[in-house]
Amino acid sequence: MSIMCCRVPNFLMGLAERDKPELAGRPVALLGADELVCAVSSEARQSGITLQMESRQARMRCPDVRLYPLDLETSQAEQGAFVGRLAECGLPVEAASWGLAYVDLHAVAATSQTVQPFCADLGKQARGVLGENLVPSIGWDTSKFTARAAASTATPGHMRLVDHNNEERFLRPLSIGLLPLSPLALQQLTWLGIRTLGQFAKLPKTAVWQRFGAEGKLAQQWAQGRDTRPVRRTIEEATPPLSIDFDPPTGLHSEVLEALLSNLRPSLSALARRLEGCRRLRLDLHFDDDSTRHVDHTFVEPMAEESRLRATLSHQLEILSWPAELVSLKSSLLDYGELVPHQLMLFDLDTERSPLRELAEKLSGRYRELFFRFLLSDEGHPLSERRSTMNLLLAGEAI
Amino acid sequence: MGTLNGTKSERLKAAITQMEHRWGTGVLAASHAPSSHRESLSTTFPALDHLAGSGGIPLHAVTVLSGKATSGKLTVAYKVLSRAQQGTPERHHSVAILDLGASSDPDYLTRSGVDLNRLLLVRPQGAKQTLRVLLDLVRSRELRAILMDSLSDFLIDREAASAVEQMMPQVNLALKGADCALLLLDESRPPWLSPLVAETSRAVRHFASLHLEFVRQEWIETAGEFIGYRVETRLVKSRSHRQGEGATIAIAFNETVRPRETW
Repeated sequence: MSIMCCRVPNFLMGLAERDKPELAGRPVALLGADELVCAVSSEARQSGITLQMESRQARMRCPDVRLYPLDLETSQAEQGAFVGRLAECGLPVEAASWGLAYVDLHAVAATSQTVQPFCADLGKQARGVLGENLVPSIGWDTSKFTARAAASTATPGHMRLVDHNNEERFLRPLSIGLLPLSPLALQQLTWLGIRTLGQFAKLPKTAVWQRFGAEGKLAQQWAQGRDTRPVRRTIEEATPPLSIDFDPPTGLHSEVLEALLSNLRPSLSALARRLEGCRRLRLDLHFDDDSTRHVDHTFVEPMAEESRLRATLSHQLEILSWPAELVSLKSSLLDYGELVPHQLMLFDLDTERSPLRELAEKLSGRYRELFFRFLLSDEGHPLSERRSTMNLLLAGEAI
Repeated sequence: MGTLNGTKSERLKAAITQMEHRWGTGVLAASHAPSSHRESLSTTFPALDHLAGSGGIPLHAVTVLSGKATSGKLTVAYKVLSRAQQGTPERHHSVAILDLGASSDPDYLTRSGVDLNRLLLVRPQGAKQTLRVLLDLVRSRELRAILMDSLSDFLIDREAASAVEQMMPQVNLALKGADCALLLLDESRPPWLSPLVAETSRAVRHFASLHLEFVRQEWIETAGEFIGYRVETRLVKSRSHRQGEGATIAIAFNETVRPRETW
């Protein structure tokens, strides 16, 4: 396979800042329909605001944060334009998440030399449609996960082409946070001292299967550079619609919610095992007076957690007007996609304890802002001053 | 004591007993012959290691590397830092740079083999704070080498010189108990600056057990392209009493970071 991953970092916030230039340089967070943070600016992130945080928590972390509702329609239109421009080349394109798409280049190029002009051209086109504020980075490899990891580690405006022979060497030092595993699984791995993809790849297969199940096994294969997923064109329907009949008809929200969850649970579990999640949910409700209602909910990012589904369904059933008792219900999980590794910032490699960090923390209490560290942010950048950054260490701050 | 005859031995024992009776049992302790082997960090230049004696830059001591700009002293210092970081698989050592001139170059550090993840960069302000931080870093016993870059940014007035006189004995003492080498870079000031700035490096050099001076001799050229330069190193001060000896080393420009494809 020959797969290119085109990734626009912080796509949703980039769109918001492009349309409202006054937001640039300020702590800003966008809220999804479920009132949870779905995008944060770098200033807000520095204040400790993370994705999936409640607005109240975000305000507690940073009182100056500006919270705006996500403009889903505009974002979807921009995402459509982004994917559409990539698809103009006539190759299969899969929109994995916001500002992230895979292109199957197998038909036109298979080596790094031949792929480079295609990637450069597609990068220019994506940049043209989104504007100068939203610069994509490009990764290429023979598998989707490695291509995505390459795009994640490349600077916007650059491409990282991973040779098949160098896959293992490239993946080895990267953080396990790149894997879309559940927070609990990542936490367990961190406690076990597994922080890099190389360490995770070396674990015994049976042990990984025993502790982390099918999704852990799949994630380990990805960490080893063995990802056989093909590039799929956007899939509209994840599972066939499920019908539930209520006899006698009911008006109790809790009863409907439990019935819905028990029906959707197997589909969600199947998606989770493939490290995928549902992006859109549709409910068709038929009431006792022959009236019908439709609920169409789009998740900002693909999700496979039952707790989030429960919260969303509960909210949707609450706000829906019920003309009579419910007779039947049809539910469909539409448009699924790859889970997003939200945990990157929570379980970063830099949180590793070291004598040097302890020393810096100890002395920071006495000397305050004297201690720094260099971070190699872009080792291959042509300008030497852009290859690394210098971070200030403060008391209590991880280095 | 084995070389003493019977009478002398008995007299010595009697004297010891008498002294311990008078001053206490802990007053006397057996002495050990000084070891000829000193722990050191290689500079990665064999000629320089040989010149410095005991295989390179000594641990538990102060070393001064002096010379004009582009004389190679910083390259040698970075190489020593990279060598200091090399530990055992169980334990990796860390190093620190007191970056007084705010001039540390992470790119050059990386190319010199320094692991940035095990490098602490400290930017103190003022002579007193610099020396206090230095003392704390040495006392922490977590660092294998500390580089002060450079004295010319630090010793700029009489106040700094008096701070050095007060604190350096403590730093020197702390170094004896720490598994750490302290490197001080000193850059010669231009002659026109001499009337304006007092010559205060002498106070620090007094505490150094090794002082190497670097002088760039010539550029090395191949096919019209500069590939490095040759440096003459002179031993100004050393515990091995070979002052005045010299060695020539060549510093080559290599391992340039390859730029990535850009569009």
